[in-house]
Amino acid sequence: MSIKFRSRTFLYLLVLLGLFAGSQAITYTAVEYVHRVANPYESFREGLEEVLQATGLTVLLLVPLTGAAWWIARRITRPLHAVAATAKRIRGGRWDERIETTTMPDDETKVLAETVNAAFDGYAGALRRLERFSGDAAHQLRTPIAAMRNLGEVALSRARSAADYREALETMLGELDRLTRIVEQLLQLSRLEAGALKARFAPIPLGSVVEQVRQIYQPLAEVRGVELAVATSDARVAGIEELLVELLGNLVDNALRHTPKRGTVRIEVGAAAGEVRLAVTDSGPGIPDEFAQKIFERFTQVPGSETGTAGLGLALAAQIAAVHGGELKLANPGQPGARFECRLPRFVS
Amino acid sequence: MKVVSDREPAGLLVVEDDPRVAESLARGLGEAGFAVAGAGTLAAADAQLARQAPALVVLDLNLPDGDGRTWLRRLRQAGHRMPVVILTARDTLPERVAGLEEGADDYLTKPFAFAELLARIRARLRTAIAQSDDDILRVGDLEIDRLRRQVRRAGRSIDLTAREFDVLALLAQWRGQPVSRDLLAREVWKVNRRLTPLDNVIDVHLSHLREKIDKDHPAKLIQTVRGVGFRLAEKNS
Repeated sequence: MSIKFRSRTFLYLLVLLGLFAGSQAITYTAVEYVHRVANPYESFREGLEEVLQATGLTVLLLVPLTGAAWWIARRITRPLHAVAATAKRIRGGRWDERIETTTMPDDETKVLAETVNAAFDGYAGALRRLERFSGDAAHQLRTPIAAMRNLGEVALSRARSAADYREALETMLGELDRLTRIVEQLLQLSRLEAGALKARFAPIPLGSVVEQVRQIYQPLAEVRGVELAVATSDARVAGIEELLVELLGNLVDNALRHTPKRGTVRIEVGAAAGEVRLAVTDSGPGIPDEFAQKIFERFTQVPGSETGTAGLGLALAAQIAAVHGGELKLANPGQPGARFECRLPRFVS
Repeated sequence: MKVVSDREPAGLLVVEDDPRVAESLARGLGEAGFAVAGAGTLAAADAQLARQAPALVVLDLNLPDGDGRTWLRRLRQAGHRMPVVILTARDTLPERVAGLEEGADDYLTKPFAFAELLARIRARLRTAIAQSDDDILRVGDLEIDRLRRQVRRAGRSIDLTAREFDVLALLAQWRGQPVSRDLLAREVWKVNRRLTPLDNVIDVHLSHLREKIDKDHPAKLIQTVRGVGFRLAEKNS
């Protein structure tokens, strides 16, 4: 708030100036009075006129000076009032409103206004993502709820055999399972976003994470006729092992789902100075350019891919990478054989 | 070890304020052979406790007249030693740790599979039907030797991978009861299948087990309970 302080300082200066002028007039009057007592022959009227003239002149000067001070102070604080007014409107729900900066002179106030605008841009973006996300979430929850409702209504619409009722209930339980999974994944995402996990970090050899995940998915790869190739290293990262298994598990599951028979899914760990690179490459059709970013957003489904998942796996994996101070990226958008690369800071003891 | 028999149903106290959850728990546990008393508030739970101490308490944490954990601490301070299984929608790690520190024996997060609650209650009560400490488990003509990790059906030895064996042993441990996918994922693969996709992996293991154990025999022992999980039993029920 240095700018506000400056205009205030200016006001104080003007008040001081006024006080100085006033005290000068008083001193002058006092001096005149003493002078007149010392010289009784000078007429009282003459002396008084002199005093009044001097005081009057000072007062006359004070009026335009105060006016000028008020005007200058207003000029300085006006953009600040504009900033405050706009901020108030934004707070009132007009999220797209911004402070007009094009007409502002290039000074501290403009810098302030632009900074505030940028902050609002950031918040508005987060808010829009949040709004879209809760909308998406509600929509995604609606689908299994609708399915359950329909199943129940249809089952009850006429008398049926016990086997039919049984089947309806079983299918409903399957839908409930889907619903539960979405809720659990969303909860996990918000837990990860809330942070406060660093306290549980421990040095984790990525090789052991890779081995756990390989052991889990090897039988599935065999059944699918896909080779699961592993190239590992003994590099370590600071993190939470179960989360890293979750991250890699989601990447490998994703890769297996998009790789045709006789294809290969490759898991690689490469260590460089300061960072570890964990990569999963499949031999599927790849991911189109326009989806390179979107696939990491929640509830994104690449058209043509097999459905049945909520589209939260990659969002979860990316969030886990972020929690570990790293980043998950699609290394080759638009090319066949999608390659997901996760860079994590290397743990050095 | 004292074994609770089928004929003397163990008394359970279910402290749960949601009437639908309470009712379905009472019904399910009743059908499973337990005598169930219900309490919708902590005060009602105290009244039930004064009447007759149950063999086990199923405790919801969020009750209209207070926190279940405070009640649990009082219960332990009063010297009651019966097992307590906590049900809750709060599932952060600190919550879980706090619950166990107050003296809970087990902790289930809502929504949970009823089969799993039943399994855990039985495990806590160590009833003869479900839990067995025997090294060799038998289901029909299937024999599972948990000590030597060997499986035989109709006297013929069957080769299983380590994971296939773990899955079969878990099903055998709960023979006659459905085992949920969640429980399989947690016990065999040590992951949460809601966060690490595992359904296809579980299916592969079950189909391998069927191939190896049931294919050449008219009596199919491995059954799918749709929407719930899998069951190892002599015949459909």
